[in-house]
Amino acid sequence: MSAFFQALASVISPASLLSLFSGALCGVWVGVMPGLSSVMGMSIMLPLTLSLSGSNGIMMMLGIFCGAIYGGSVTAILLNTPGTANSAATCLDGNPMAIKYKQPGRALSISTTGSTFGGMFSSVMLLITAPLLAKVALKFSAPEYFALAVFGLSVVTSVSSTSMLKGIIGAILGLLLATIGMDSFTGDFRLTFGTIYLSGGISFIPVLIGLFAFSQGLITVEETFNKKKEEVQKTKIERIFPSRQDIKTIFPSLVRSSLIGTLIGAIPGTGGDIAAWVGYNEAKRWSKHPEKFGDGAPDGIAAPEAANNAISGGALIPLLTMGIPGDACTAIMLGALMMQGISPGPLLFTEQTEKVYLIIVGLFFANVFMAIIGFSGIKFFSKIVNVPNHLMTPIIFVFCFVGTFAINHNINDVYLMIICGILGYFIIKMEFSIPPIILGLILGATIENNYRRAMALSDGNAWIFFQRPISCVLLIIGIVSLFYPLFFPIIKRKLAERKSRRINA
Amino acid sequence: MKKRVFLALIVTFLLFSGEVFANGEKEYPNQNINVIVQYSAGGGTDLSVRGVLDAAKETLPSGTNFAVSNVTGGAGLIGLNQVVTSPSDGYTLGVLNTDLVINYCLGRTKISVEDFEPIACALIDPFVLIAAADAPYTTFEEFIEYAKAHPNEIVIGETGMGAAPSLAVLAIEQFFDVKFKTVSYGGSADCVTAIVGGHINATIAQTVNAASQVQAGNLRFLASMSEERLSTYPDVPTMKESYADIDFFMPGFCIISAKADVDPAKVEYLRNVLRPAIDSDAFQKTLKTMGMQTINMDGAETKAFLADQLKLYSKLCKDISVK
Repeated sequence: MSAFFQALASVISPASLLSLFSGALCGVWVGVMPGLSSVMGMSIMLPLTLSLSGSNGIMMMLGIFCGAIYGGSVTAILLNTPGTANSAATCLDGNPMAIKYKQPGRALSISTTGSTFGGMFSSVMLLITAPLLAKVALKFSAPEYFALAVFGLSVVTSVSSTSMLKGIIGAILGLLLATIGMDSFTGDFRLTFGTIYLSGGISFIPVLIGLFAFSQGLITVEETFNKKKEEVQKTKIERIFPSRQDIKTIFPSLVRSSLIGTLIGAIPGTGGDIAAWVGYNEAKRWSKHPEKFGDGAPDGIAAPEAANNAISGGALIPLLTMGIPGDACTAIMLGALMMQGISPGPLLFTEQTEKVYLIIVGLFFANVFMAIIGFSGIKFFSKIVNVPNHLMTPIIFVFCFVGTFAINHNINDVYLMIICGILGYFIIKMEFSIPPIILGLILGATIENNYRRAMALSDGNAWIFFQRPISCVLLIIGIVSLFYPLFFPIIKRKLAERKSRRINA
Repeated sequence: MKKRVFLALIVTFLLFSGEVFANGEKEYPNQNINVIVQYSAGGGTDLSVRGVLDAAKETLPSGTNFAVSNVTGGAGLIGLNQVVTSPSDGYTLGVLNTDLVINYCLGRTKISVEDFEPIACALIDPFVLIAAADAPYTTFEEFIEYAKAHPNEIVIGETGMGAAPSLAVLAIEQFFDVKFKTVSYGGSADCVTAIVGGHINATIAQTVNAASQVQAGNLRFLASMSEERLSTYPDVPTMKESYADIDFFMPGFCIISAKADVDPAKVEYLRNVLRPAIDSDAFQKTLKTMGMQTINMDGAETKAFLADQLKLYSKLCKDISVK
């Protein structure tokens, strides 16, 4: 325990707090700016952090790591433009609350609360359960990953706002899009039409930005032309901290999502995107008012945000205990730690205990600073909503182009984004919902690759998915969750009929 | 207030545009040298290349620098394509690597080694055979004997058909006339996790992927696919030590290169800047902490090395396409 207090003392030193703060500030900024991803932010800052003495470099990296995940939610809420796949789910309710109901301050305060809670929760979980969770995560082989992704995909029926059938069609479209690119098992090119661009598969970000933001821009243009005179929005910042009522509403979702985020984060190779969607879906399932989801429900903002920030602590579990980076961000983190003379792996917890505590305590304080920056930025951020549409829409278009191009420096990404944007416009007009397509696209490769991997391991015996306890349970939950919204009304009606019959009899 | 926001925007754009208005009259280099890395930031290729460039930037004339841009996608081919289609003025450099040689041999791209003039070798890191520590074999000989006695039983994780590890498995299978069961994973880190989790038996990867697990005694490096022992792991024997007639030498490599038709004087200038950087303490320390290594070869040696690699992979790739 003394190692823990030593770590606490060294984190609370001025230099270390300053590193954490500046890291978190950079992170939030990177997250808010379209086109700058957390991966990019971390790799730009990596050389700088190496020149800082002692643990301060690590503190700075932790700050960027947390801040960037949070920052993405700001544009998702205000501009309907998710900077990363992690905050795509936040758009669903965050944007309606901020724009339709003119409560940007409330939306941001809920997302900041959610993010902070998720991040802090996961760092505490990291402290208590890391070695234990690492063992569970190791049990994940191909069948389990397959089952987890199927479970993630089963969310479609509850995120499709209007028609379940359209939701499933959307998901299938997403899955089909995910088959584009090189088949890594055989090396064959699928549906690439001989272009190099498509050989690596469809990249998420252009599709995300196109479907969510560009299409929304087109719709706004259409509306602006139909309307004679635009009323200038004058939204007052109603509040910076969430109301007691809101906290009461979102608290169960916060705890649930934080647990989901930490668990999913602990499994290498899964990320904030799956966690956010699963968190969203569970919040909707357990909510007393599921019909409000998609239309500015506070839980719908808090749940995905808590889940994707809880990833930060979760993802450090396999990194610290096994030296396995789960995604690009943690891979850079691994590089930074190794350069500082910390080699994550099974020996870290026994041989360098003080370093482990240092990282965990640092992560906790990174979340504290993230919260401070987030809450004090709300006033500034939410002014964006007051910008009239005829100015805002061109700016959004510019951000769409810059953001898409900046990621890979590839003009083809921009073309793809425009195509997706135009398709998205018609998709929205036909009352299909966008999220199932995104889900299909994100999870398609995981589902396919792990299915084939499992088949290779079992010599083609499909029972492997049900013989293994974790995958069996996940698959059953997935199937139940897929059909639950379909059968629940029927069951409910049957129960009601029986009840009324009994009363009549 | 509005003005200030506007000013901030302008400053941001200037900071990120990185464009320097060039004056073509001056001596080379008089503007930033753009280095296109075809993989994402933070990976092995990126870190080694950035390490060399960081160590070298002080020798560049003031006002100029190396600017790394990560142009990812298309199995690295998009970035390389951007390099070969850029002007041959010595201001765009690329990274010639194992994957390009393989992709060329598989006929996936027309870009070949011939399109590049190697400058400095940022990384040559041999592949090693990695297995669980509690496996019934503890040496490479025992591994091969076990494989002969139990065909199709050892499950080897690789990173996709046509990637270097899959070709390494193929080379071993052909040389010893054995058969493994292979499963494709997303990357070497996933393969290592799968061995630790007991889902597969072995993999072929660079040491950095498994270093901490080996240290902790969960995994073991059986043998390296190099001509000499690794400087980072001198205890690990080479495959050649066990079977002297092995003729395949498989490292992952990253060679900072210019386009083939760049003025030789500029290439020479860049060699004089980058090759000393490889020997610099700063870069050697970076390599050491990352558990990687390189060989500081000159132009002719690098070309001979590339020719050998091209020969090896074109033979192996022919065998895949026959299948």
